[in-house]
Amino acid sequence: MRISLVKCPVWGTREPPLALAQLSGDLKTAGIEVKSFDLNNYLYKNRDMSFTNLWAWEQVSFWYQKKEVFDFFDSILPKLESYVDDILENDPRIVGFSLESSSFYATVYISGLIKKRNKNIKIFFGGQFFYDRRNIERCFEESKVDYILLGEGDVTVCELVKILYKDGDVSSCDGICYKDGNKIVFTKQREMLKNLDNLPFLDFTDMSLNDYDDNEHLPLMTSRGCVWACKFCSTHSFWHGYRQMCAERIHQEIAYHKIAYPTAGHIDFQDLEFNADVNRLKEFCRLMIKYPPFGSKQYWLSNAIVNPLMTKDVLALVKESGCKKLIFGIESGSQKVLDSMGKKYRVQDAKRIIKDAYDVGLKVTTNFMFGFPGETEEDFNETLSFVKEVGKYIERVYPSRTYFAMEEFSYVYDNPEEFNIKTPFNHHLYWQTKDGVNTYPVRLKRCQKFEEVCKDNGVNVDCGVKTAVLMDEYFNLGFYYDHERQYDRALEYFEKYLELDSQNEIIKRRFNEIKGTHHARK
Amino acid sequence: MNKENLVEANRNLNFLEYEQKKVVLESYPTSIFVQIDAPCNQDCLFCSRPESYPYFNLEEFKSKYERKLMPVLERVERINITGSGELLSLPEAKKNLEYFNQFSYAEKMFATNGSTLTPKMADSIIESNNRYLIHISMHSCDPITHKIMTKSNTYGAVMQNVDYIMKAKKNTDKLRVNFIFVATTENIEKLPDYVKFAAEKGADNVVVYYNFVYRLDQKYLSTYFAKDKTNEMFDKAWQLSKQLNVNLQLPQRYNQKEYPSESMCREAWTQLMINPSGDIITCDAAGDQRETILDKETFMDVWNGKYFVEIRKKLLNGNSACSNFCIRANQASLNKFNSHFITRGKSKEEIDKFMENA
Ligand code: B12
Repeated sequence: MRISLVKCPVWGTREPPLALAQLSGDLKTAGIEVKSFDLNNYLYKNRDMSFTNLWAWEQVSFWYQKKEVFDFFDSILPKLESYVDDILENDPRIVGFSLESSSFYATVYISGLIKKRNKNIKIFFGGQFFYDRRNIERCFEESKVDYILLGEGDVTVCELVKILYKDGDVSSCDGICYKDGNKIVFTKQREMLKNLDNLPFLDFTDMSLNDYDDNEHLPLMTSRGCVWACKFCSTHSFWHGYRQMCAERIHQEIAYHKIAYPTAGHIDFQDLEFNADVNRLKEFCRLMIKYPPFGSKQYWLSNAIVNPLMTKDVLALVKESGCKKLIFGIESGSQKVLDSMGKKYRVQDAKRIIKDAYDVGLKVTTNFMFGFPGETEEDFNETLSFVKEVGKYIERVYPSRTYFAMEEFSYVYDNPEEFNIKTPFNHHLYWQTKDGVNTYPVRLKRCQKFEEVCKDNGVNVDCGVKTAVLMDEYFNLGFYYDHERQYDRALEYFEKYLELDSQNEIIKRRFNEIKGTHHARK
Repeated sequence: MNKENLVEANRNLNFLEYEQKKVVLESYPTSIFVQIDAPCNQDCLFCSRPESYPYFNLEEFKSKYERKLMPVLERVERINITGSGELLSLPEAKKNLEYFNQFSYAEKMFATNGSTLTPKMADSIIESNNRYLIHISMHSCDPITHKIMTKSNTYGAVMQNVDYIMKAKKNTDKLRVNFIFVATTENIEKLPDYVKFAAEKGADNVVVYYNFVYRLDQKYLSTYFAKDKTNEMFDKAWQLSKQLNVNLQLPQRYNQKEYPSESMCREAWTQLMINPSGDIITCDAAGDQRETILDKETFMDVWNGKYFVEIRKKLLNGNSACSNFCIRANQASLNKFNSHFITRGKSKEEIDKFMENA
């Protein structure tokens, strides 16, 4: 029994895709041969100058456009064909793709190449893309997928591989859907794992940490879901509830990966929060202190929620265990906005924890959003006051580069009326309130103002992921006005952008297209 | 009867039944070998590990076998928990060990390459207050040979862990640690160094095995093809072990004038191996025949079933095939190459290929 797993762009390049590492561990545990292929990282590593910014976080929208992705892939077809050779090398009867919305078109393209080679190969799709029923339909229409595996794939994928290799009855496999004639058949919903402690360790055999941007760290995911359900976030629609591994299991996994990566040194928890259960956190810290897997050079980072149980003592223990940095989604300094986001914390607690963390020597990064629907100038000013007051204790602030993006399946997205958002909904980035007061440029301005205030107060701002701030502004406003059909202004911003990055194929192309069609018409 | 007494009574009865040459037994085996398969982070030259295999799952073991095996587990002196791969690299490693710790009267034995025997794991084994015998398979003590033998970069982790556990074990009399050396043409010259290393660290025993050849590409790893060198190294290692006061367990040398006389194998009376699919065999060298416990109602249906009774009869009558190929049953057979490879599952043609040049 053999399967190849593939991750198509776009995805992170700092570390291997965790879904593949997890599923690979799951499959091996079940006695199934598996090989993982991170096409995303392969293309990233082998990109040329004209596509150099494609992996920048802010330019993710490229990958959401079919034409862009298909043109790009057509232009590198020989490279892709030889990659497909590798995927099919050991004659797997099944190829599984892991999808987020950002990898949809790339996956459609590559799975198409595979089917062209051998139509008998069964294609699996799985991943967080599929909490949207419409995406399931889209996949059956636009791609050659055979089976979509819904939700948590750990058990389902092993079961379905076994069934297919035995020519068994796929309808007996829970948690999948497939086409039967014209209709999509859904089997019984798969029960979620009760106990994450039994999950196999991540398997990085085919995706060495050393091949990624930051090869110094070990990425781990020790929980699924979130104890909160913030109204801007969609996570709870995929991972219902919250489950976590116990401290000992986490420590054991770190010690295990340390054998292969003795110099990795630091652990990067990808969990939405690592401190939902402060008792677990404390136990983990004690283990890391008593048995430090990486010795004196170890350190770790994680996201955290503003949990009032994070007392100064706890924070000191966290520090002693090698934690270097905690990242808090503060989002706003206004209690009113926080309440309407559904964030379950008091501004006072956030301030206290940030200061205590600073006092015990921990670094703190805080994320902020701008223009949550309902946020007024006064509310925004409270965010400014927040950084003025506790900025000196914050190592770095990270202002959201999408300001406030509307996430599909979040509460806000599903209830635009309640938030006074103009419908029909036009764009996840360019949405606006009915009164026209909260628009993309307004949010951008707030973000810029925020950065100014940070700088004036000596607070370190993380200036985006990979591109420079100005480029980011020109790029975004260019596309915003393009989207709003204000082509003159779009051209103005694209032109400014090209002065800074004249090689950028996407902008060049769009710039020329607009010039060609709309200007000519004028 | 309390639990210790149950074990003792079984041991005595088992001994008696063997002496009385019984083929249908009232006693249970005195040791059980539960095959725990797990991922492996090494790729040893001589290993038999297949490309893929399912890993051990305690819940499955319990639901499929626990009831049937309970009478055995309640009476054994020794529980061997070892299979392909590193059992300590399973996320449930600690739970698995804890499960077997409930049979506290039995000594637990497992093998590890050392890389997963972390300080935390070592402490929890010691803290369990159970008797443990750990076989650490290093096969060499220098980084280069270790890398050649294990095709891995685990030397650093192994050495750190060995250091820790050998220090920690000084505080307990319940833990024994043997250093294992599978002798092949690639590492045989390093045996004397290994003995020195074991002396420094305080190993209870250094145990040397000849490697079994499972695949054709492993053929010339066999010391059968370096008999003189092997004998020479055994002699050197032996002298050193006397000087350094280390217990060294060597197999017989090649081409000795005399060998201990053939003894009748006890394993069909005393030992039971169960693999994850429910197959039960007497020993790891056993032939193709086996029996599954899955379709039997009780353990005794297997223990006194056709397969075991047949083997015992053959052994008693001296017409079992074992002494032809098993080094344990017939130590002189080591001078024949067919004692160095596993014939199980191989066709006549394949066996001929193995025998070429031998
Ligand atoms: C960690 C993370 C990242 C990391 C990735 C690190 C890495 N190398 O893997 C980084 C920071 C890079 C990242 C980036 C992005 N992310 Co992100 N990320 C997450 C997060 C927090 C965890 C994902 C994870 O690794 N989980 C652990 C693994 C084991 O779970 P999993 O991937 O879901 O896989 C399971 C199942 O989905 C399924 N499965 C998955 N693949 C497959 C394949 C097959 C064949 C099968 C059978 C099953 C299966 O089985 C797996 C095991 O149960 C999730 C939110 C969350 N809490 O889950 C968002 C999330 C996945 N990200 C998301 C998005 C949108 C992005 C971005 C595109 C955001 C953006 N707008 O820029 C970017 C990528 C762009 C870029 N240029 O990098 C969305 C996806 C939404 C969607 N509908 O597709 C999520 C769900 C967040 C959200 N709620 O919006 N992200």
